[in-house]
Amino acid sequence: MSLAHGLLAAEMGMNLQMALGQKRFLLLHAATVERDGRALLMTGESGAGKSTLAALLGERGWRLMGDEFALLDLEGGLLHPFPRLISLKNQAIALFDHVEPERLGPLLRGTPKGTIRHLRPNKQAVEAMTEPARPALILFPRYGRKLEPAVRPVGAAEVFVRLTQASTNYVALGERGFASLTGLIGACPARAVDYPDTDSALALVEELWSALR
Amino acid sequence: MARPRFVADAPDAVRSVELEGLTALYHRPSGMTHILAPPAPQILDAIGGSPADAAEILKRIGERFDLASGEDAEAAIEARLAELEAAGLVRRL
Repeated sequence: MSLAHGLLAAEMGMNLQMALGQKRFLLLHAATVERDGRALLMTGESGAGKSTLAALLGERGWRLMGDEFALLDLEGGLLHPFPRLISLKNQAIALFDHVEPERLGPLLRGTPKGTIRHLRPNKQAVEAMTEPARPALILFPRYGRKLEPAVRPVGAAEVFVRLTQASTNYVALGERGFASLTGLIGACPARAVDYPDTDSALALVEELWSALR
Repeated sequence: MARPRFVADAPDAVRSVELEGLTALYHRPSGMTHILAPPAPQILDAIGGSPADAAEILKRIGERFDLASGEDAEAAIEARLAELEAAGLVRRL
């Protein structure tokens, strides 16, 4: 990787350190946002849009807890924030043109992940970075330009398997990981969400969130 | 020929959680997680700490659940036992 892409290298190094070294929490490769003291967890394959969705929600009245790692407490079942820089990629970069310029990093073109620009989480996210939240909803977003907006329930066993795959330290934590993950699944409904554009994704998220009450 | 008898780890060697009809099971001796569909969890429960062959397991399960009996049912239990054996959750004596 070239020196010009050093910021991306630093980010990847930090992610690797978290993924391999974290023992206090069950680590999920997932984005988390919070509203009214409750957390929405979004996980999916690379390109599913969880990071972009979390960042957008973070600019629209939600608190961004993290776009890359969700930290699940092994004892109490709370999600802890990790609001590191958001790594905006390719088309997602233009969605954040309106934010304060000092929150945006340099445009990194031609990286192994395409064009990248880092976005600093906003003041609200940083000031509340020590405040955990109780998980309330798990979403598995899937982006596809030709997909019809759709929501479907996901069975508990499938949620369990998908979250073990999304965890970087489930196996290392042993029984504590099993207990915390099954506790999370027992406490939260889960939905798969297909969306063709960010507006429909945001509308589906708000609709699902309202239906929780 | 005598039919194979199986033994499982003691009940406290596993921790299980039901997930809408399926069972997530953490096996403490191996540290492995398994997802089981019925009747595999019921077979493990039926063996408990007391070894049994397929016919005996079927009888024990029948004491608690309403299920079919006969050769087909025994064959189904044997098939599940083979899967549980491959997963390391039961052992052949």
